[in-house]
Amino acid sequence: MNGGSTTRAGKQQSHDSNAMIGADDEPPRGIRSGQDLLCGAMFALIGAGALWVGRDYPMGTPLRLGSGVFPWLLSWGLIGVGAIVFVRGLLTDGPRLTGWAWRPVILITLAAICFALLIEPAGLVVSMAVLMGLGALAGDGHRPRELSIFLAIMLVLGVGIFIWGLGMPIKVFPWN
Amino acid sequence: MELSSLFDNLALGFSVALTLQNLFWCLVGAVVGTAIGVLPGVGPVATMALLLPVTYYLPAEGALIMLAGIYYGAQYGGSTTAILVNLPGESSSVVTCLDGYAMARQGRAGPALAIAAIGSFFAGTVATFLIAVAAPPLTVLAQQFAPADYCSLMVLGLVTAVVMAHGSVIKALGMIFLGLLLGICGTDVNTGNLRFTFGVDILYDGINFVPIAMGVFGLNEIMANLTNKQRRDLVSSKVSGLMPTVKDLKESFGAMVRGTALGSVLGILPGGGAVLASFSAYTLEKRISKTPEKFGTGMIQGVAGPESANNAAAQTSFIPMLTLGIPSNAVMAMMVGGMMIHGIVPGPQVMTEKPGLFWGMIVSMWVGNLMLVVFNLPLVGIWVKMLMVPYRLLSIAILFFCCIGVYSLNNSADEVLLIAFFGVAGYLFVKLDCEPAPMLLGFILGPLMETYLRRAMLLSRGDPYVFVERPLSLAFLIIAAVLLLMVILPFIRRAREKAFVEEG
Repeated sequence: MNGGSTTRAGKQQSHDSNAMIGADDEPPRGIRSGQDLLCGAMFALIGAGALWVGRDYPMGTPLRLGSGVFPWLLSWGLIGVGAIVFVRGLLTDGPRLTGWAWRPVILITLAAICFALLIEPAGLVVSMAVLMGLGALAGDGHRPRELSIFLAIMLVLGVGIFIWGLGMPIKVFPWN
Repeated sequence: MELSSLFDNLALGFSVALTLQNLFWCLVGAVVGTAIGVLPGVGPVATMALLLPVTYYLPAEGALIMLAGIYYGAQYGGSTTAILVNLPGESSSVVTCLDGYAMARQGRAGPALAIAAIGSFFAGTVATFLIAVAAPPLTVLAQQFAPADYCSLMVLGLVTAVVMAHGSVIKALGMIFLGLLLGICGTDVNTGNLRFTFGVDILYDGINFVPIAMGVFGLNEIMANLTNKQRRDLVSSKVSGLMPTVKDLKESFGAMVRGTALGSVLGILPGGGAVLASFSAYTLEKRISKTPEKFGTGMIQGVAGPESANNAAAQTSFIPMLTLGIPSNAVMAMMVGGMMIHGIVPGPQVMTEKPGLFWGMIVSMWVGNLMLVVFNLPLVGIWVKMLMVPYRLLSIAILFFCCIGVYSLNNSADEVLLIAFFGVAGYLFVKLDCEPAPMLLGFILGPLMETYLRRAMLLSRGDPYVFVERPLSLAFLIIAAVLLLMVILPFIRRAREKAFVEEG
């Protein structure tokens, strides 16, 4: 919806493919929907997992519902949805799985993890540098001069806003 | 409602909204909103998530006024990019590209921008008034709701969100279940039991709303955008002759009125909001036009209608959130998050307990719209320059603000790890064609729904039939069932898919 302005291209593609299914004029090609299979499996597994983790949560009485009731309902709902999507993936043609953009996914995730691990022991400057360095590697077409000026501005801004401005209780440098 | 109390309320609102401090936050919100609206690939949900930690430092009024400003500001900004660069800055401006960019190519970028702004302002004014008129009676109604009614209303809200979601209905349903489950992680407030904490300390208090929203909307968007190459064909001809002619105004007035009406209605519906409104308004304009074949070649109605509709919807979607405490879309879920940071529980009691906050926020929307229409057109040049910042740099800045924002919320590095997790999860969802917005809605409603479910059962002495015995609750459930049935029945589903394809 409103937040997903960026996944537009992806969404439109999927619309088109949905439209094709709806129109029924696509002959079956023997290729079923890998996307639906994986999606159904994901929902069903999460549901089953939640059911298992929550197996000992007390159910209480109808008068005083225990903490296990709502999770139980939701887990079965999720399993049900997962099963339907999975079966649909087996029976009807749908969008196939598209390749992952591994580089941005791994690098952005890694950047956030490094930031989390470094911010307290190493301070803002080091953690920012690592975060933004990894973030830069995730993108294409950087020009060295442009990038280094940008990173320098960001470092100053970061320290300025969050340490001096908002007074966050974190170190600036590792030796502080 | 009596007219005099309406004016009293609005006067109270003005007295709050027009303080220097709140004017400032309104301006900040509107300008930031426009900026992110202009920039493709940065949505209002992510930005609001980003700024939630900052609002912690503001008074409650200022915080909510600013957050609201971001949302409607984004509707203004999105159209600027759509018209000048043929790239929707927001998904609610996708259709504005069609005729707006065509007008720009004919050297009529000025009138197109002006009509978009005037239409938005007109819609914003009407919608603000609508909120002021509709909110008090709805609040009174809501105060008579029993827990069972609330529970059924939430079911209805979630079902509508499923029905309105683009793409697969069943997957949206799955995402809602997932969100509800995530929402009840942590300590069960009623019994003190720990649920789904896996022995991890930071999960004891439940998953915080901000890391989820930032992971799923912020980090995930960076990952997705870095893989999509973007083209930006800026209109080379200068933006000259800003003012639309009398003929332009005459031609677009009807479209503005229709767009405002349609947008206001769609905004109130759960799961609706600005995107659906702009699409529907464009379809409507095309359908009733005497020259439908000319749409896409620079028809001014094709700009006026959708732009009025998306702004009207952006504002009326506050109505269910403000009166019932039930967010109707991801942006409103974010507003609820903002309220909760300040210890305000959204619901009908907000209007009676904090009238200054309530009316101040409503009036600030109109004030903000006025600011936008006054400031925006002269500032178009700056917005266009901002588009020159390449996404590869922008993404680094967003990444940093996401991480530091989450960290600053509780000074907790563990929560930064959570956004990393939800970033990857969000990317997986997009790959599987599952929209994350319904999940966020479920996440917010999960604990509320459980509480009301329990209360309803307690009040009915353990009789589950209470949900069908109370007329209001029954009505909500029937509507929900009918809606669900409608999208499942093949005939109607096909029509719905066709409608979405036409829009896209």
